[in-house]
Amino acid sequence: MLIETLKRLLCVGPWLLSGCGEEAASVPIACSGEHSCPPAHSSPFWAVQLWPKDSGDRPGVDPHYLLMPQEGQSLDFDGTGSAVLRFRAVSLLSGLLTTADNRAIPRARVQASLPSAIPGQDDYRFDTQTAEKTAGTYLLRVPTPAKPKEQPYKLWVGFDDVAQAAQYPPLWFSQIVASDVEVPLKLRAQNQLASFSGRIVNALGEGVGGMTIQVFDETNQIVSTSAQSLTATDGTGGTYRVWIDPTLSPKTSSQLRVVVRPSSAQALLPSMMATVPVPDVGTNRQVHFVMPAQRTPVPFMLPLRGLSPSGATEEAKSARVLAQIHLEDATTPAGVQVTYTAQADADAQGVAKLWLVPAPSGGKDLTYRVSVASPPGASYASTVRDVQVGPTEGVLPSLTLPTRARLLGRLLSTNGEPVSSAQVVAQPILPDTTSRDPLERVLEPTKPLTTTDDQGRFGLWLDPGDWDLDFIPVLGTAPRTSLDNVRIQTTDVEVGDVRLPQLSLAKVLVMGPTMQPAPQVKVRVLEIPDVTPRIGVACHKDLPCSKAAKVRAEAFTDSKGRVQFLLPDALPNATMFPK
Amino acid sequence: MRGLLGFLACGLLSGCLIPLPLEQEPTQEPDNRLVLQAAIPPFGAQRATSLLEKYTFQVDVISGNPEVAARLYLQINGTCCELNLENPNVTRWSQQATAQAADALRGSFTLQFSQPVLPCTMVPAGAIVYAVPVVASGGFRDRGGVRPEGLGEVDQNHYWTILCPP
Repeated sequence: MLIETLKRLLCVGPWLLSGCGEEAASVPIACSGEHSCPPAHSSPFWAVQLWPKDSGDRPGVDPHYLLMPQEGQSLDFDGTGSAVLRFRAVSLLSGLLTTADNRAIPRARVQASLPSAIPGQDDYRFDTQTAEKTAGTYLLRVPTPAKPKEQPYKLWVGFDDVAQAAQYPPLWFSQIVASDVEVPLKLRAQNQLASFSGRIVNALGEGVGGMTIQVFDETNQIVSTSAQSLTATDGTGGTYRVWIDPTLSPKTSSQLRVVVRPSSAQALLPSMMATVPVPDVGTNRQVHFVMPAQRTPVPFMLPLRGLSPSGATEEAKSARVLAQIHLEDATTPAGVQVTYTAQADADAQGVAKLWLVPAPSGGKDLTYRVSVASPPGASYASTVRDVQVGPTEGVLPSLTLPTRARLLGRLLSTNGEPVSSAQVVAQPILPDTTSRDPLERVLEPTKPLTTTDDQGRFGLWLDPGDWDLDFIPVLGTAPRTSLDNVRIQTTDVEVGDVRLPQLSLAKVLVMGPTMQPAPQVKVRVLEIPDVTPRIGVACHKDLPCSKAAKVRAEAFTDSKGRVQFLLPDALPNATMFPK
Repeated sequence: MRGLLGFLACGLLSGCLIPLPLEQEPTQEPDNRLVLQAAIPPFGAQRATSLLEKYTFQVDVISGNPEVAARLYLQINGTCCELNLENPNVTRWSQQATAQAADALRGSFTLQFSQPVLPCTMVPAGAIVYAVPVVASGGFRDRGGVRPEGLGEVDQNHYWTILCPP
């Protein structure tokens, strides 16, 4: 009803929707001139994000009617493939931040994060700082979620200022935001906190100052104040104390991680981590750290080689290298992990210069865990290897990377014509990493990309793993689509002919909260994947499936809030998949 | 000028072929205009609340050249934005964007850095990381490489600031 009313209004005004004339400029080429396209259909798998270029924030404008990034609008197409999307109004979060004894705190950071309901999309984050003049007050504008009760904001209060961060642990909680709401923020009193204290010393028992100490819960959120170990030559050197809010960690959480990291001036020192039980309120626990003896990193050169497509050995240029080792010795307190990390990119000769801890003279070689991320487009694969490091700095034995498998195929239109110049992007299906420890560093796999040739053929060198293939034809000629859950091992995979699905034309009008057209808004349409276990797609740890939503269209609205784009009306059809 | 000198020099020598100047062919200069239109998230400061906070970035540009490309660098020494790839303690190469036309007639392109970035794992507590996209209307000199030297109009004046937890 609303849509029909809007269309009647728009057809008589300067704004034109389908059925009452169109601007040729905004019509995708596949649907222009003599070509007509079937209308887009509604689907529970469509999700929309709206990203305004300009919020419209001007003096005198009611802040409730500003345009803010949001999602959750229903893409309900009518019989002509037209839909109207309307921004929801802005809600104002306001309040005063005080200590437990009611002292106002200026310059604190207040952040409201709204987790995206679209799988694989970043949270929406909005933040501000508490005021200096009207001390401790804050005002935050946030978009009202589509389903406020099901989508609470995570409100987080922390400190950019080192002195404040050393004094107060962060605060966070869920907050339902359905309209303007006043949220007073009160930090917990020190008698409602617990603390960890201790000393960080080197192998000679001398205090090590300048190290940062923070406590993380099992989801890697910081639950403590941030402390720096004291720099002093007397017995206080290396001592620290952090305050923890035990109520911040999830009720199911039983362990916390006390993490010690060097400052930028101490880049060659290790990071250390102790795993300890969640303390009770009002208690203090001693957690001491000892640096291992004789462990100063020195430069080593790691040559990286790979096989070219011709079979010749070549330098693995631009490969990214991460080397880590856990080095504990007899002096390391129980439960403490000591980690040295080095990272470098291979140069034009395929050599990565890494600062590594040498083995002790006369002792056993040290075994580093080395991860290498091969650049996209290279025929040699990423890998993880153990590398032996001896007592003398210099050149390490070269590391030969395994050969990547190729994924080959041909992209065809719905009518069976080759589709040339289309981008083919491989997206890795990644495991959930929320529970990994805060010192564990991994190299994210690269996302290879290629373009189809005149015959629609494509080929990608891929690391072993599970991948989704995104097909992005030349704008306006065909819809974007994906071939999900392609498993790559060590042999080439031929997916055969991939036929694009039928296209459909979507015509969208974007309106502001007060029903005015919203120009220059980026409309992103994503397709939510079907994660129902089915033949060939188990969607469990051993046979993961794609869980991230895929972009199917993105375009800006014109000056009248209108935008047109192509959408697929099905998934692509691969004839020989997998071979 | 060179043709005239050749003509004068050759006129004195037998058997010398005088190159006739070809008619000037109109050369199609690529339209290198480049305007940064928008970004997701918008350019500016992002406050990370955890060490492992992930970010993905996207830039929308108007460009007259379909070769437009972008590369992302992370400036990790707290300064912005003299990129120094020779020193991994200053600048880290992150990734090249995939470029997709968003509106061919307006020359609008979306440059998507689809690989998530975890900037706060690279720096000490409380440090600032600048995520600097270098956008070049004509692509980059080293195709498939990692250097920031772009062709045509180049923009490296916009960036995201990530404040890591102190």
